[in-house]
Amino acid sequence: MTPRRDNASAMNESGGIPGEDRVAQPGQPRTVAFDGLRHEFGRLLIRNLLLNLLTLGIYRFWAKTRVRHFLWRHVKILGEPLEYLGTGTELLIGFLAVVVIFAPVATAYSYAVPFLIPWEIPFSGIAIQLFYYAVLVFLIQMAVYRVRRYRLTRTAWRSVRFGLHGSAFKYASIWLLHGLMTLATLGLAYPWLRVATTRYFARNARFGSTSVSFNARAGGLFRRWLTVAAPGLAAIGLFIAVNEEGFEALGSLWNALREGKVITNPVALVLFVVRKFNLMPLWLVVLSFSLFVWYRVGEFRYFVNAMRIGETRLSSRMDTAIVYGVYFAFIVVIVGAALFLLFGVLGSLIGFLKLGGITGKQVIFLITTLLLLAIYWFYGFVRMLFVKVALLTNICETLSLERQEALDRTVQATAALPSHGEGLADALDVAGL
Amino acid sequence: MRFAANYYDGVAARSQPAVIAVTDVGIIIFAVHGAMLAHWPAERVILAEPPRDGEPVRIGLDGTTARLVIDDPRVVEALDRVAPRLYRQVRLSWGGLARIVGWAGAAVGSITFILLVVVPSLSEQLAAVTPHTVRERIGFMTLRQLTRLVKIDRSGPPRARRAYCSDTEGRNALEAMVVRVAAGMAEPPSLRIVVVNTELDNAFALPGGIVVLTKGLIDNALSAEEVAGVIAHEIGHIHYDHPIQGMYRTAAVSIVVGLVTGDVAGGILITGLGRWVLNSGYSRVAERQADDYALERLYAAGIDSKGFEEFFTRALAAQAQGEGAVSGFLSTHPLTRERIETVRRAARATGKVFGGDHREWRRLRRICRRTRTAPPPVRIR
Repeated sequence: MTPRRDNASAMNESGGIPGEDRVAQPGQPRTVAFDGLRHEFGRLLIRNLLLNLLTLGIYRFWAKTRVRHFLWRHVKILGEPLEYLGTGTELLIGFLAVVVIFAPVATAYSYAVPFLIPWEIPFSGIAIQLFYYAVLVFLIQMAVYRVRRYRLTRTAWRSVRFGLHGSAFKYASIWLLHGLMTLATLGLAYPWLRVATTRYFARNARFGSTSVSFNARAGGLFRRWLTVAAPGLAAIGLFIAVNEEGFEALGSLWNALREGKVITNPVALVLFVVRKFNLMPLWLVVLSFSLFVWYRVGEFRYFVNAMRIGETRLSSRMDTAIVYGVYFAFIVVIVGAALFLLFGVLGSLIGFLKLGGITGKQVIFLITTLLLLAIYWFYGFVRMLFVKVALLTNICETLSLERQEALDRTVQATAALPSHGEGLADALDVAGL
Repeated sequence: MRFAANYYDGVAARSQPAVIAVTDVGIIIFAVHGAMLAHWPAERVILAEPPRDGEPVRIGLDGTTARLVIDDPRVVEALDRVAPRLYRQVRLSWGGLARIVGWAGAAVGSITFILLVVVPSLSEQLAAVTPHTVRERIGFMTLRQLTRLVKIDRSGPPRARRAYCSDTEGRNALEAMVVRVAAGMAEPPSLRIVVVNTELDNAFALPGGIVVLTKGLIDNALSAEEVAGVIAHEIGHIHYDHPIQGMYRTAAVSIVVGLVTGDVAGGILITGLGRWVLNSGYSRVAERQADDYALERLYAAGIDSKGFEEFFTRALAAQAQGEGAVSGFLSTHPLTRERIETVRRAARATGKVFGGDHREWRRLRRICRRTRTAPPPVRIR
């Protein structure tokens, strides 16, 4: 028996099952590949959904862990898979810690608000609300950083763990500062926000004892961002310029409300005011939104190319067209399914049962609720199974390493690991895989 | 037995071609040229992943990230004979299950404790220290929300199309009724009574001692005593501080339920359902308290509680029919046979609210002939 050279050769011997959507090609192994099978992943997702329902959501920690196990295991770098080392119990303990620490704080805060607001000062309520959102954003960003730390320390490749130094508090501060700057510049400073936060994250990331360098500059992204932001900003300008009449109508409505005039038909009034506006500039906003995907893919390539793990250079050739295709198909499928369920199924049910009266209304309400839930589940399922897998496959296929032999010299770090999972992020519903 | 392997030692990120020997004392790992690299004790050898067809077997040393990657699937069989904890991460052990069940029990216990003990007592204490001005502000805020949510009756002449009923004679009659209900109270609470101009049939007690009646309720009532009973009931809620406690409780319960169910698919439904079950549990106690208070009050004021009973009986009959005038009241005041029985058995005085003066009752029923956009308070004390 001879020792194996690497896992890629083993994969070729076992061979891809013909007709399956296995990504790895025989012969030349890709530097990075995702070779998960859709039907296996689909089975896992359905199983998770059922168990989540049966346990009223308590299973979700193990469900997430299983999903990550699957996705990590099928990301193969130089033939060797990533390994996910986290457990559902860790996530549960993290969650319980939040129940113990965060729940009383949140409860106390929502209790305290009526006492905190100095009602005599005008707009003090709004100011407190804004402060509340700032605190919330800060907490969410802290949670994001802690989640990344947890996931990186629970990821190993070739028996060496990844890691993340730095402080979540500092990361959230950087985010908040640049976020305010972005607001103040009507969004123009967005690339600086992205670069500053990614820089802090990347420079604190580790593979074993090897650190990551990141030399992106926001200037390198600004032209791309300007292309996205320009239609949006133009839309605002145009909207103000062409809608003198509309704003006048709005102003007189506002005055009428302040004088305490009675509105007999609010819907008609709102429609009347809206019709006074020329809404054409809003199409530019739609354009702006759809260009955002193009920006993010370009940004992703730029960021990956600016990153080095030790001496190993990363580069990405990710293509925007594929991402657009995936999202377009996703929107078509979800909207189609929603329309079919709500109008087709619900409509025919109502016609078939000829429901009337208060019991009829309740039955219709129940069925509608269940259908909306079904759409919600279908949405999550399709998003995971098709969008996330397609994007992950594409990211892996277009990623390549240069001077990969330098990775051989990496050794395990000795830093302590965070002992438990992603509690705060789970509570704040910061999604992710 | 010997197998070819790729060895990752958990220290360096490089693959070492190796040969392993599976023996009774565990796995002994040799470099290809023959030098011994490591010995993994049998009781710490685990499968890093469930073995699957067509994929190499991945073995680990428990407590480390060191791995052996072996192409030959027969290695699992060989290890199964010597490694007692081979499936540790794959099969759920009794100990692992017990740990999870223990945690789940603790979580259920702590949440139950929060919901049943912490939330009610915290709400009570906070309600007790909430100053009256803050309550009134919250009460009026809620009232404004309420009038926005209900459908204001626009069928009458223009002066009767606004949100709050304000006919002077009607208000005087209402005030007389409230004074009568509160008669002989040692310390009558500071009360405001407003009538909202809507067909909906309901009554509410809001923070700050605001009692809200609807035009629909007055229209559908068969006697002044029915309305007096409902008012006494709502004063009971105010006496026990239920409105402000309820607000604090709802806030806390939403947070707790939201936390527990997390982002599970269907979380919306489960959250809504959970909140509904919990709130109806809390409010059942509150309704009973308010009923008892109302009966005592009616008795002390010498008002016939038969009207209160009739109101309940009609509400229940309407509910049984599935549709009806009084179902609005039931949606916020869960009614049980037990409550009706209590009211029926209660000692009953024989006095009338307006001392048999039908003119006063007719005036009260016409309170929505004139309306205003701001609440005209009928303020007691």
